[in-house]
Amino acid sequence: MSGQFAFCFPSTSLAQAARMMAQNRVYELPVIVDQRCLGYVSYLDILQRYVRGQLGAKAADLVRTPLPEVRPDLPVPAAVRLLRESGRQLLLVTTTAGMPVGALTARDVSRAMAAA
Amino acid sequence: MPTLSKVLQPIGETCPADLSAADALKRLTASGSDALLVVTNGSIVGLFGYREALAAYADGSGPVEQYMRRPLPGRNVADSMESGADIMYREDTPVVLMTEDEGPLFRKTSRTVGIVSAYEVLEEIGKTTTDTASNKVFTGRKDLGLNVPVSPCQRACPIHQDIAAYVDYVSQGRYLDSWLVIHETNPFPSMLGRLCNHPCETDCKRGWVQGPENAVSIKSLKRFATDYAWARRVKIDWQRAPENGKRVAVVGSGPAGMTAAQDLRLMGYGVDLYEREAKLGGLLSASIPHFRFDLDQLNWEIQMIVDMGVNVFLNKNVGKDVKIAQLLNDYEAVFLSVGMMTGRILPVPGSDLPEVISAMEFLRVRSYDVIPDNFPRGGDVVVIGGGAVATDAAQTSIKTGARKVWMVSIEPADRLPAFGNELVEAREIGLTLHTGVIVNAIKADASGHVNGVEFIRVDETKLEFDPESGKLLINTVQKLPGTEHVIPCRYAIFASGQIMDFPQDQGVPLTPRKLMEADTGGHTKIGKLFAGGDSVEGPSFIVNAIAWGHRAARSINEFLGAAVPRDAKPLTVIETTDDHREADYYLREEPPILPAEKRMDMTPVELPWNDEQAITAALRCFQCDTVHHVDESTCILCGACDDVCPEKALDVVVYGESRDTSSGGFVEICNTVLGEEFGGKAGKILVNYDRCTNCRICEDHCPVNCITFQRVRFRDDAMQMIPLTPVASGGKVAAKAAL
Repeated sequence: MSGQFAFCFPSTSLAQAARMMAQNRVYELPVIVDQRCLGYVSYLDILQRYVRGQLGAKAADLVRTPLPEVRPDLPVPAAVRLLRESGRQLLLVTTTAGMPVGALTARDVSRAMAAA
Repeated sequence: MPTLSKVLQPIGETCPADLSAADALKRLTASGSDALLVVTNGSIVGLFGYREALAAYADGSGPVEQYMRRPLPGRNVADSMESGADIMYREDTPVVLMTEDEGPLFRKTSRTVGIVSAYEVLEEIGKTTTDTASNKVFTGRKDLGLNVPVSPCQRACPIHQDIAAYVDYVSQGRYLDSWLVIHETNPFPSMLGRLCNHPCETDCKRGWVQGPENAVSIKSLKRFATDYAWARRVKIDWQRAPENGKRVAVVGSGPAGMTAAQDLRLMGYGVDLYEREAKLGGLLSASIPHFRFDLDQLNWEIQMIVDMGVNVFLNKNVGKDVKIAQLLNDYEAVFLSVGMMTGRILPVPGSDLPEVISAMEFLRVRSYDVIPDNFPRGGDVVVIGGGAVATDAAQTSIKTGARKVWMVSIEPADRLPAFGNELVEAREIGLTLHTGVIVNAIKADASGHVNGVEFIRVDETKLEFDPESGKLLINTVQKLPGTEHVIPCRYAIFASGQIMDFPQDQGVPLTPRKLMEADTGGHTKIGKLFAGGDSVEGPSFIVNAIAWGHRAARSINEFLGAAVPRDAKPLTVIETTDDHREADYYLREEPPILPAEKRMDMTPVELPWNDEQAITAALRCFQCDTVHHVDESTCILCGACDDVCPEKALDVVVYGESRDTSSGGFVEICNTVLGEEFGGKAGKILVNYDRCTNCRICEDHCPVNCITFQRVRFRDDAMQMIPLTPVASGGKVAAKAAL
């Protein structure tokens, strides 16, 4: 799990979201407001907006839902299964109250698999 | 229009198509890259990334070609960036092969020259697109070795809180992040958010510009973030150093003692905390009346420290029940922070009557929600003194049911030591001030009960005050004979100073003022004995006591042989920041308080801010910890930034040229030598960060866009936030271990 995970706000610009994805090497960025996850922004949507010349939008304009949320004690096999079934590249780790505490990426899980 | 050649990457790690997926995964993770290119007979046939690795998880023994993504789309390096983004979107692939044409016309062939990944395209998008909805966001950590200016507020704060950072977090709506930053150095933000003397606000740069009455409301923002965290029922789970087997005794659980206990536990020491009261908190819980703070929040903060494994011994009066010599024998070090918890009663006739009490004792008894003996509910009370303790005692008397309360002081009304709004609030609920007099005697009736206090006027024209502290110089007080008068009352409270209640036979070195003798690090003349807080400094502010706790813990750590102090924080966090020029239109706002008619009991009087008030207040911060980041390879030393700076905070110095260098700046943000096209000039840019207000006008006017603004801060990685009621904490550890 990455305790320090990249996320954005609904008001984050797409350019900023693109920068964050590049800097943090993630393809999906959780959209957080008031310590709750609204969904995520996918790199594919940003690329599409870029092609169409519509980058003036904000993260809120192309937030996708849902982003699967898991608890910190989720076993690795279950995380793998959830990532595959959801097609997501990132799971949000939250408390039972829904407060984000980290993120679990395909990269994190793969590293755990390689180390096993 | 940019072409894909701009973001072309060389072909990175490859793997053969017949390699097992498990081995490929190991190669992938070892390489650190995002994907392996799968090669067969010298040709790239597919891609094996983390998503493909997940697919191979159940059956990792199969070859890579079974799981790889194929075909891998290709584009020509001369194609536009949009074309590359388009194919990535259509094919749902994060990597595109790059080819280049070669050979003569009609016989052109393509050869693979590299790849383009989505990250590079996204980065280019981020660079070349103007933010229309800019926001400050966490962008990761790296060490650029930038200049790190310490903001004026942080400089002024005794515990050097990272104020600009936590205020900025509030402005972003990241309230819990703000609270975490506060807790890096401040274990009692609920108290300091309401009661701090806020030297930070005195030195706020916004106050320099808009007037001291318009400084950023730092104290109230701290309270806001803390209220938010409390409402979410979270607490901090500290990552402590391993237990080192050494034990330290901390005597007194006030802000200094609790802070030292917390720091020492973080350093791995076993801490035994001795408190003579029946509850923890020292003056926080036993002297400050409950209408001035939220007792539940204080208990929450105390419990966070206790939960770190501090052994608490309540009702243990060190010096009487437990001797100092015994502690020095039992522990590797002892820290004394016993405070100045005893009030002084002036030795005037009648001061030994049963209805005469010191303000400290009165407040201590009331802190247990008990009404002191002989307190006249429905009767009149006189409080003797003009400071904060006197105001507290007077307000508490009113809220406890006194009919009429007088506060009587030597100082004239405009020189009372009570600061802030306390006096105004007290007068709103019925306090009567009587100034320019000194107590002469306590009067009693025939049955020996107080029935009045006699005062005598002083010559106010002769009074002098210490120019630094503002305190009255008592030797300038001259009584005016014949002005004696009595204020009828049934109870007298002396708020005329505090003394240290600690036995003098314990061998603790004392100063002539009967304070403990120690240096600013808390070292006494006795090797293992440390002292700090009010018992060394005299009555002071909460934030100063917390600073004592931090310093004493560091001193003890060094004394016991630790090589690395806890505050060596190697991590640097860089964040881009946004400008808030619209904040110039807002003025400072104070948190509201309950109307006077609702302030007649011990209910906390200060009301919370809502989000809008807090964010507006936070936006007013100049973010003085933000630094210019100049791209030296681009800067042409043109001087535009120097010319447009409204605060004259920048100097562009070109060697061999005469330019104005009046900013007084000494922080070098650029040092460059230009190319031949600019005559090979060399020079540097200097900034005076005491003048810079982060207006970003230099950034706007830079013709080569070489100036950006970034924040650098040292983050405390020993903290993480968890719910008050633990949620799968064991599982979290397990998951971390597994990953």
